[in-house]
Amino acid sequence: MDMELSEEQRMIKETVRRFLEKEVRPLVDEQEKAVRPISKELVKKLIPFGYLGGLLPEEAGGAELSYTTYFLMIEELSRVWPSLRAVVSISNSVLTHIHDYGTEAQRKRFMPSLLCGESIGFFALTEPNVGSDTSSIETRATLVDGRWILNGTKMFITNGVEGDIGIVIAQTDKSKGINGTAALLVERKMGYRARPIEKMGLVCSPLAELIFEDCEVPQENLLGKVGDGLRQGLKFLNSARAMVAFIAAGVAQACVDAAVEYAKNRVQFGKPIGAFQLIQAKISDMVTLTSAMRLLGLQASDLLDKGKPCRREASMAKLFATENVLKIAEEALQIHGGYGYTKEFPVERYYRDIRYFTIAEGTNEMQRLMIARDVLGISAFN
Amino acid sequence: MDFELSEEHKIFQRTAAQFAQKEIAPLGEEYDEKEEYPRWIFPRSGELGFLGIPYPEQYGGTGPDTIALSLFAEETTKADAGIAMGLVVQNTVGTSPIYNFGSEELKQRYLVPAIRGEAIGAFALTEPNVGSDVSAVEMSAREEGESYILNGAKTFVSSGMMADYAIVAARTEKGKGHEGITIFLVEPQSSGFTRKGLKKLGIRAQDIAEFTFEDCHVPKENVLGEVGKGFYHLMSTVQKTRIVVGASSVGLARAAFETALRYAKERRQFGQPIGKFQGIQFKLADMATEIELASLAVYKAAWRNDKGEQCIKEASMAKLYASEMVNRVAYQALQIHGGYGYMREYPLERYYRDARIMEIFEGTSEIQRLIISRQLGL
Repeated sequence: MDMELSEEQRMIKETVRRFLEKEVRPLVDEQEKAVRPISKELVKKLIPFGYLGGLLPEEAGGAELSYTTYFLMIEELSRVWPSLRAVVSISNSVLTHIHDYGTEAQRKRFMPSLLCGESIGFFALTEPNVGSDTSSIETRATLVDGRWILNGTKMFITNGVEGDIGIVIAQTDKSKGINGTAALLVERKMGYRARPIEKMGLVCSPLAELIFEDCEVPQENLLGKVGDGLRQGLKFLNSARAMVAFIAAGVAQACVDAAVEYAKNRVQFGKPIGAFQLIQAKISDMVTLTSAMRLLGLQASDLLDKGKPCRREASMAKLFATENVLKIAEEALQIHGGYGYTKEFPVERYYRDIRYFTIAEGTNEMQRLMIARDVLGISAFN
Repeated sequence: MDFELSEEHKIFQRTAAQFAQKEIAPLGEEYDEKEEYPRWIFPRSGELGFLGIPYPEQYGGTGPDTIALSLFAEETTKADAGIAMGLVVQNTVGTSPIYNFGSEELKQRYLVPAIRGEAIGAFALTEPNVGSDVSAVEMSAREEGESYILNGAKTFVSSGMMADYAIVAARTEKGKGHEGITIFLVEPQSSGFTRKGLKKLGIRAQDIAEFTFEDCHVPKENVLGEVGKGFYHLMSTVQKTRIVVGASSVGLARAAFETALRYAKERRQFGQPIGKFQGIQFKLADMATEIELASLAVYKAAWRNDKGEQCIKEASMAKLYASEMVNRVAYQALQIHGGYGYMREYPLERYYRDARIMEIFEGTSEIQRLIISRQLGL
C-alpha cells in the first residue's frame, strides 16, 4: 500500500498548476462573462504538458502517461477552467479511439492534426430520444455504392459546433441492437448541420445538436468493425467515469480555495466569519469530502493503470464525487452570502459548471443501478 | 383544526394563478435571457389589486392579509421567480416601512402610487461589509439644517435599478450598534446618488443594484419612523417577509415538480416511460411529500401572523425548510430531465438557478438556524 503520489507525479502537478495559474487563470473571468468559445490557440498552449494524446505510446505521438498522472493534470485544469477541460479532454478521447481502433491509414490521416490542436474532435452518441438507453440509437448508416449515408440527429455533443473530426455512432442494422452499430469518422466538410444548445454552465465549451441528412461518409472512414460501434465506445466508460471524479476534485478544490480566502477576510459581528463554529464546520466538511473524492478517484485510476477491472470502482468514484462536489459548491456559495450569488466572485460559476456531472457520462441514477447490479448480481433494467 | 382556505382565499388564489399563468409565465424565459424586468407588469398588477395585499383599503390596498400575500407569492413565483420577485418586494420591504412608520404625507406621496404600480420601491439595507450583521450598518447620515447628508454604499438592493424611490437604512449616531440607525426615503434624482446593476446566478429578470451615496441630501421629512430606532423598526416586520420567501419557494418547487412529473410520463427509455421506474417514482414521491410539508409550515406561519400572534420561530422554520426544500426539488427535477435538464431549452435549468437565492436573502439559512436556536432558549 502506498498512498503517496510519486515524485514525478507531484512535480507534474506542480508544474501544470504554476502554468495554469500564470497563463490561463487571468483569461477565465472575462471570457466566461462574454460567453466566448475556447480558441484553438488556447488549446495548443496545453500541448507541451501532454493534455492531447498524453496517454498514448511515444511512437504514436504520446507521452505514455499513466491514467493517474493524466487525471491529476485534468484535476488541475478543472480547478482553473472546467470549460477548457471539456474541450481538451473530448479531443483527447477521440485521439485514443482512433489510435486504438483505427487502421494505420486512419491514424496517419486524422491523428497529427488532432495532436497538434489544429483540429478539434468530438464524440457523438446521445440522441434526442436516446439518453441512458444507449442500445436503442436511431441514427442510421447505410452503405450505398461504397459510401456510408448518414441520417439522424445527435444531441449534447461537446465540441460539436467548432469541432473538425468526430466519431459518430450509428446503427447499421436495427434488428441486432447493440451488435448492429458502427463508428464512423466524420469530418466537418462532409456536410451536417450543427445547432448550438445554450446551457447552464461550461459556457465557453459549446454543445451542439448535430443533424445529418443524407450526409455522405467515405467507406474507409469506418472505425473498427461493423457491429462494434457501441461496444468500442463503452470500453472507455470506466476511464471516463474515473476522470469525472478528478474533474469534481478540481472544482471542489477551487471552491475550498475561494471559501477559505473569503472566510479569512470577511468580517461580520466583529470578527472574520472563519472564526465562527458554523463556518469552521462547513470548511471542515468541504475539505474532508474533497479528500474522499480524490481518494476514490485514485483507487479507480490505480486499477486502470494496473489493467484490472474497475467497473464498480469507477462508478462509485463518479457517483460520490459528483454529488459531493455539488454540496461543496453550495456551501462555498453559502459562505459567500449574497456575494456568492453574484458574478463578482467565481463560486457562482463553479456552482453552474459542476452541475452537469451528475448527468454526464451516465446519470448518477444509472451509476446506482450498475453498482447495485454488480453487488447483487441482479439487474433492475434489461 | 381546519386546513382549508376560506372561500375568499380560494377565489383570490384562482385569480392570482390565472394572472400569473397568463401574464407572467409567457415572459419568464425571455426576460431571464435579457436580464431585464418587464416594467409594465407593475401598473398591470396594481390595476388588479395585487400590489397592496398587506395594506388597508384607505391606501388602495386589499388587506392586511398574510395568507393572501403568501398565495400571491406562491402563484407568481410558480410562473416565473424573477418577475415575481419584483412584485413580492413591492408588497413587502419596498413599501412596508412607509406604511408602518411613514407620516400620512409620505404615505400619500409614495405608498399610494406604489400600490397602484405607478411607482416602484427599492429596499437598501445590506452593505459591502454588512450582510448578516445588520446592526453594523456603516453608511452615515449627518444632520445639516433641514436635511440629512448620506454617505456610503448599499448593495444587493432589490428593484434598485428601476426604483422610483428607495428605502435606505443609515447610521445617524456613530458606533452605537443596534441603536442609532435611521430609515430614510431617498429619490434617485437626489444629487450625489448613483446606482449600478449587478449580474447574478438566477432570478435574472429581477434587478438588483449597488447604490453609492456621496453627500446625498435627503430632506428631514423623509425620515421613516423614529430617528435612531431604524434597526428595531426593520426587525419588527421581518417575519412576514420570511413567510413570503417560504411561499415563493413552494411555488417554484411546484413548477419544477409539475414539469418533472409531466416529463416522467412522456420520456421513454428502455421501452417504457421513465416514470414507470422505481428510481424515478421514489424521487417524485419524495418531492411531492416535501412540497406538502413546506406548504403546511408556510401557511401555518401566515395564519399565526394574521391572528397577530408571535411567529418568529414559525416564520424562520418555514423559510429555512422551504428554501432548502426547493433546492432539493429543483435538483431532482433537473436530474429526471437528464441532459435536457442542463440545457436552456427546458425551464429546469432556470428553476435550478432561481432556487438558489431562497437560501440567502431575507436571512441566510445559517441565520435562520441561529434565530430558531435562540427561540429554543439557547
